[in-house]
Amino acid sequence: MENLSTIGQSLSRPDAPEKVTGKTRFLTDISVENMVHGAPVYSSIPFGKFNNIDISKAEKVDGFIAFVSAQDIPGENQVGVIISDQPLFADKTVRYIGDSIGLAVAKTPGAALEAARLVKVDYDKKSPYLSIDKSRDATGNFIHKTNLACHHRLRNGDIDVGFAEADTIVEAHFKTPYQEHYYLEPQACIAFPIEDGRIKILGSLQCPFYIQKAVARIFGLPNEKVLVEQAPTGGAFGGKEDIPSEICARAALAAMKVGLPVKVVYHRFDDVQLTSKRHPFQMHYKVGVRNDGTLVSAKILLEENAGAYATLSTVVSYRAAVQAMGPYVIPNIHVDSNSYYTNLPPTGAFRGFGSPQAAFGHERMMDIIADKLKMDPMEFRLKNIVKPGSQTQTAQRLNESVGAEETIQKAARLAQWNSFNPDRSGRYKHGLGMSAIHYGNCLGAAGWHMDGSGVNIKILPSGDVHVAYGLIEMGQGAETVVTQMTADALGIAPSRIRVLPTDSAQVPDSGPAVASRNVIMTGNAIRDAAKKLLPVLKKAASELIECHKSDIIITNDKVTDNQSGVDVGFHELCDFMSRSNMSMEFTGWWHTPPLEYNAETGVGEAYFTYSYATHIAKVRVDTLTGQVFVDKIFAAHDVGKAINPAGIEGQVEGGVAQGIGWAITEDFIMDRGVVTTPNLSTYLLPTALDCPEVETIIVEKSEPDGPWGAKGIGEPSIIPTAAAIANAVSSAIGIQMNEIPLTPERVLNQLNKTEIKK
Amino acid sequence: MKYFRPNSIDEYHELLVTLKETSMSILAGGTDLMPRWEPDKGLMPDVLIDIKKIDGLMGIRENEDEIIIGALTTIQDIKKSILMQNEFGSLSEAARQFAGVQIRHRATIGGNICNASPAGDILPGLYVHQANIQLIGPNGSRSIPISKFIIGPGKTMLEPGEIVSEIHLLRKGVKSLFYKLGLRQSMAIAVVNFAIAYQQDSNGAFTSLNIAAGSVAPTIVYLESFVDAIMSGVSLDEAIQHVDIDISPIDDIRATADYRSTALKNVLEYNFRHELHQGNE
Ligand SMILES: Cc1cc2nc3c(=O)[nH]c(=O)nc-3n(C[C@H](O)[C@H](O)[C@H](O)COP(=O)(O)OP(=O)(O)OC[C@H]3O[C@@H](n4cnc5c(N)ncnc54)[C@H](O)[C@@H]3O)c2cc1C
Repeated sequence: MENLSTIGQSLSRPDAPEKVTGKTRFLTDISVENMVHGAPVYSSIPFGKFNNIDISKAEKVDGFIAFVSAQDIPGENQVGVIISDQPLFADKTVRYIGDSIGLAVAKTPGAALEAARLVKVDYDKKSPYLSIDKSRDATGNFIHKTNLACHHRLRNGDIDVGFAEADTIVEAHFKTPYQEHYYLEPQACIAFPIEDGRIKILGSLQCPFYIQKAVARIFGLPNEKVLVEQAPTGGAFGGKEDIPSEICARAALAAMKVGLPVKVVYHRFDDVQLTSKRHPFQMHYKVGVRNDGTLVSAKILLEENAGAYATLSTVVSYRAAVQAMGPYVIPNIHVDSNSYYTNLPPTGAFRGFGSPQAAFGHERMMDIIADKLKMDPMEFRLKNIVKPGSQTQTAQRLNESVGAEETIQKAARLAQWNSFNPDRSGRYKHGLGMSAIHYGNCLGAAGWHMDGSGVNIKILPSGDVHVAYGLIEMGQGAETVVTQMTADALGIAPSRIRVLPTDSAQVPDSGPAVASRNVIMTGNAIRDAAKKLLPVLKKAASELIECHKSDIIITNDKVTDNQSGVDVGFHELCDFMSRSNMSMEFTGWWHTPPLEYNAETGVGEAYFTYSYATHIAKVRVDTLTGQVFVDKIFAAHDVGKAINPAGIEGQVEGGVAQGIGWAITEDFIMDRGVVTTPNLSTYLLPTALDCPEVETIIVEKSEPDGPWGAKGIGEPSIIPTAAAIANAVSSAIGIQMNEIPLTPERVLNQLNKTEIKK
Repeated sequence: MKYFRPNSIDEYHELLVTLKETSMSILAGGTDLMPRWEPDKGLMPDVLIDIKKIDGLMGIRENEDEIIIGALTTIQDIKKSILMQNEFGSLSEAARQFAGVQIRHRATIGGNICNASPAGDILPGLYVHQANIQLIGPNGSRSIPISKFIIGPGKTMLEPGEIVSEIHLLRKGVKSLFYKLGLRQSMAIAVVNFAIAYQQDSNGAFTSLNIAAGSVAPTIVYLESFVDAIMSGVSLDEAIQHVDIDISPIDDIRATADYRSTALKNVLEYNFRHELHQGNE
């Protein structure tokens, strides 16, 4: 049994004091000598061709320096992260309003914007595809070689046999909308030319190594010639996964052209129009079930709006496919998950990565089936829930760390599920809704080849410890848990530890900071480094204390000879090591365990472990206006081991708030490809008054491959929320609400329709 | 941009005589004005006159017949005022449901009036209490009823150089209530709002009734046909249909015209039945 003194404690965040007092310097606050500014020039039409870019007016703007476009690219004009379908600067074809034509560079941000506005492009318009249906049904004049961006499938068991065995077959359609990340800090970076031909990037970002590769590709340079450092990042949620690669590459190109540091900060309007969002899904579920409530067969079609470029669609589509039926045992299942190109802003990574959409499908479906069977929705879920020893829908055997059932039971107990019996005679109708999910941790079979991460731990003579890691702090509390895990891995006080800003020069390519993978990846890498470091520390300590090295114990910041009881402070040991000229820097690395998975059939081990969660929403519907009020959320999460319980509560409350936004208030609207909700007064994020009390329940089913047993929490926190709310609303009003957001108007329309029918 | 901050009305008028710039804005709380500026596009006034330091335009006073609200009184001060809560319930409630706490501390009642938004939350209460708007200009002062002062979306009877100095409300013992429907629980522009001012005799019959609704027409509108129908004694079910005669809502990004009309009628009817005890409960 390890001695945990820091893990499991709600250590406060080292970055918090500066952030809450406004001292943190974000990119907008940073300027460097001789810095100039870039502003994007982008397509004003959704689909078409152009021949000529006229910059004669832009050049006359006071302060104008340069205009960069496709012809300035020395390497490959390509920034597609998985599929190479996205030019960095449009090459004669534009595919959405926001497609990049060039970057105007000027002395001030205002002059750059002005110049960007005066760049004139003549277009030959083509008729755009503005919906999944139009894109799927196209017979020619495709957006790329075809309109199908990508496709994933799952073929497990025999669905015809399954449906033949079923007593009841239920079908339903669901629709989920866009969601805009609305990170508080918009996209921003500075690119610096270095005299020796290297390029340095300082950015608000999530994936430094994606940027490194993207910039290197544009210049045809080896990756190591590009240095990427993360600036304090004001939120990301997936929106700074792939997009910064484009912005940094354009800034880098401009910086190399003009020989000066170039800064690009997107205006909110541009940020909303140009950058990625959550994929809208339309889903068709057909599920067969026995009278006793056993699931036997499912045929599921997921269709995703990928926007103009595939970006991360392939992995979103993969995750949605392998999680399409949720944390339930189902022997026969076919899933097809198709992403279609449209002439709309590209969709990409957003907290949950296809999971909240799939969860909306399977969890609404579970309630609809339970309603048909006249079964309690909780009992129906418990009947089918995965347990240790169960197989998932991809026929993956689950052995340990399967807390799904416990999350349902604990949430239900706290919510008094069984005794809920509201009076529904008045104006307000009350409802309780449940939603249970599983979430594959880390990159899974589709991203296994890049699912390794590292740390570099440096012991200083003063006894301070510096940790460099390859993933990042984007507001989620990464620095805190890295501190805690390092402290316990070495047996020292957290106050000694400083987590360095992420810098590609300090650590090897650690993959993207996504998929709720920081605790697992960095935590295991820390343990790997500690395994190398501890023997060295112990050997040094035995020399200092003059004892046997096997008697040395390092714990609670003290280095003790267990035989004599003599101890020294950790800093004394470090000082001794430095004076004795010993090695004081250690790297650690961890790769996720191998997975057996068949990409053709989708059968096999999709992820090495899963987080589980159940949310229960308590809502009130105003039948006069259709308004939905969320009165309370009960959120039970199996996290394996809570490294920082307060951090988990923070993630859960944030995830729930973002889930409430997606479910109710955030109505992202476009008119022929132009975003008509481009700011905070039209795109309505939930406010404090829209977010009720959240009761977080932590379930700890230890994961053998997780550091100290831990699994991810960042994304699971948002995944069940919207489905729980829709289930609660549907139960309150007795109408199946299969599309979100549940705006007052959508709910009232449904209420009115049913009233007329009555 | 030039910035001036006169300390009195006289100083303000003296300043006006000396200014030659064409585009000039009056700044109170700035919560409507400043979001419209786009410095990068040159959308800024040449001259900004901050009236916040002008003497005597702030605070709520009373005399026997009237309550007088200075134009610079903040929404927060209206929300806090016991006097307003007791005698002008609709205005007090509108202030409570206004924006969020930061904005309420900056935003002024004068700004809400002069901004003349069809959705302005303070306005329906002012309409139903038949507030008089006191103006001061280079040529003296004048007083106009609120419903005459506002003439269109963003349009008022303000003459160049004139400012709103005070709002006068008669203390007639009229009760009032306010309702707001937004797309979230705070920081929301009304999709529909309305105020009802009324007096009832001991049998519950109305001796006076006045209703004004927002976000359903280019300006706040009185629901006159509906009120006439109620006063003439037709059933509530029938009277409510008259609301559509009074309003002319449009579709916009927040809601359709149909929704505004339906929600308004639903809630209005509910209020008449359950709060004002008309028709069958
Ligand atoms: C985030 C946010 C939330 C909001 N929420 C609400 C809400 O819930 N309900 C609502 O009704 N409004 C809301 N508003 C709008 C705004 O806050 C109100 O209209 C407010 O009352 C305006 O007052 P102000 O003092 O800030 O006006 P300012 O912006 O200073 O002025 C508004 C206009 O009136 C003119 N003006 C101001 N005072 C005078 C005067 N005394 N004489 C002549 N002209 C004058 C100005 O020149 C300007 O044209 C919101 C605004 C924001 C930014």
